[in-house]
Amino acid sequence: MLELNNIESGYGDVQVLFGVSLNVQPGEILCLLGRNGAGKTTLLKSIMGLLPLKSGAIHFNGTALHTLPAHNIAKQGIAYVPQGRRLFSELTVAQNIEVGLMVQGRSNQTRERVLDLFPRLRERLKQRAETLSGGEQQMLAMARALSTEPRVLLLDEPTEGLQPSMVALIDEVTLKMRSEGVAIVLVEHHLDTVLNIADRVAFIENGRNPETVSAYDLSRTPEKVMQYLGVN
Amino acid sequence: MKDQLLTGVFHLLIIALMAGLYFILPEYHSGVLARVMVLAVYAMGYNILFGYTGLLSLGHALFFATGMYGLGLAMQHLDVTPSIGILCGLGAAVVVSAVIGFLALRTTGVAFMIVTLMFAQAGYLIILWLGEYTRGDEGFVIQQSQRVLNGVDLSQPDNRYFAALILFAISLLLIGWVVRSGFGKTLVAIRENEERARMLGYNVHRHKWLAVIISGVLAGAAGAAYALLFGYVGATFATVQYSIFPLLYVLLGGAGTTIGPLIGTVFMYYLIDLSSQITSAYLLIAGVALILLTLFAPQGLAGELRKRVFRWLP
Repeated sequence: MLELNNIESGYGDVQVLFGVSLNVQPGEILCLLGRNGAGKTTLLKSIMGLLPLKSGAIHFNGTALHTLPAHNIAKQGIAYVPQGRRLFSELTVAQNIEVGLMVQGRSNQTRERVLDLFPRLRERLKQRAETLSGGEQQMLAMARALSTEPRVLLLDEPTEGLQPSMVALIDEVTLKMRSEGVAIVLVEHHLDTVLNIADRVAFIENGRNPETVSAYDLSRTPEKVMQYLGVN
Repeated sequence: MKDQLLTGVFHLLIIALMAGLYFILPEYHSGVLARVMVLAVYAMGYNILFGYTGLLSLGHALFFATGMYGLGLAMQHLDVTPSIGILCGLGAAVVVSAVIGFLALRTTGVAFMIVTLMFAQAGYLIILWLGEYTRGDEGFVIQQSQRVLNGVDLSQPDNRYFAALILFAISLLLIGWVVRSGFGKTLVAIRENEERARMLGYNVHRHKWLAVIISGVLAGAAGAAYALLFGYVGATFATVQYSIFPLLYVLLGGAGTTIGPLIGTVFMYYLIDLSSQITSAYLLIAGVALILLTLFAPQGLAGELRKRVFRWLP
């Protein structure tokens, strides 16, 4: 499905990723786990074409993504929900979703499906995005991404700063997407969430991927968390 | 759907109001309004780029002048009819805005402002340089006998008013349709967050380029109409002052609103007109009014109205 081969990337002269190789399959949640500044967000931005690769390759079902312009990468069916939501703040909830639907020409059916996932948004359709609460903004960011009906979903700390009930809702939607066969790459700091919903966990340390383990294995070897995150 | 209907009715009412004003206002003011409507079309074009796409150009006088000289030079030297002249003006505006857009959109932010300003200055200097044809600073007059479009003498005040109104009406309805279309919403999305729009899969560069062309063609249409209706083509219209005007009109009237450019143009035109009757330091009065408006209506007149009263205002 999505395959990263030995990629090296960064910001101008500052290299952040050093030969990272990963893959994620349909119906799988791959969690990226690592300290702040390890290169997790850089990895997602590199997949989306926001940062050019210095070397290596990214393939999605045989298509070389690293050779495509950024907007064409998204059109392959890859959606990215960045940290900090980044909504179209002056547009209403309905318009934010519509902008997501239009790009791939999705129908009202998709819109209804997305709104069913986040019923709260249905009550807020005419409200401007900037007036939503933090949790609602995160829902809208996810809803907008899902309205493109992606095959790969990249989520960068989707539950950051949210109350427990909201975290549970976001997790629930993420699991639902997995059950529908979407491949998900999730950057997440809540270890409980990682152990609950991830299938595999890729550790990112200083721009490298020293190890990828199954969530089950990780739950049995907590010393790895200490090793890579510095916490118990 | 309800908003769409409301928008359509609202635009038709504005057009009807402008038509009605001709029969109510004294001749001086209807003359002013004819000029204002043409300049408002120029501002509407500017608004597509600035208000809806978020690109601040300081070189729109180039597009206005392109339409004006495209029509003027063709009528003056090739002796074409006004309708062919209009096509020449519009054609020239399409080509120039497509080329300038292609080049200038390689930059963003302040650099985009500087690059568009430089292109407009180059355009102004070219007009002076080709003085043999353009008559440089002095400009040239399009004779009254030439300003007859399909049997209608456009030098007559009533014909001129309604010709300006037709251009204004077409532009307003066109823009009302564009901004409510998927394309228009995408432009707003790009204005709000360009990177996000790209991440959703939109070809942001192409959208911005098309916005420059639509904006440039409307500015060119206004320039061509100005030459035809008022009979004068001059290099003054290519100066930086004429690039600043639409920015002021749009800021005052309300960027990102369909009616803002008209309100801003009327306001600015009369502000200068009335203050110059009081004192020779009329720009001082205009300046104070602008500061007050910026302080108390930062979103422009129509923008504030939309924020406070008419949420549906397009």
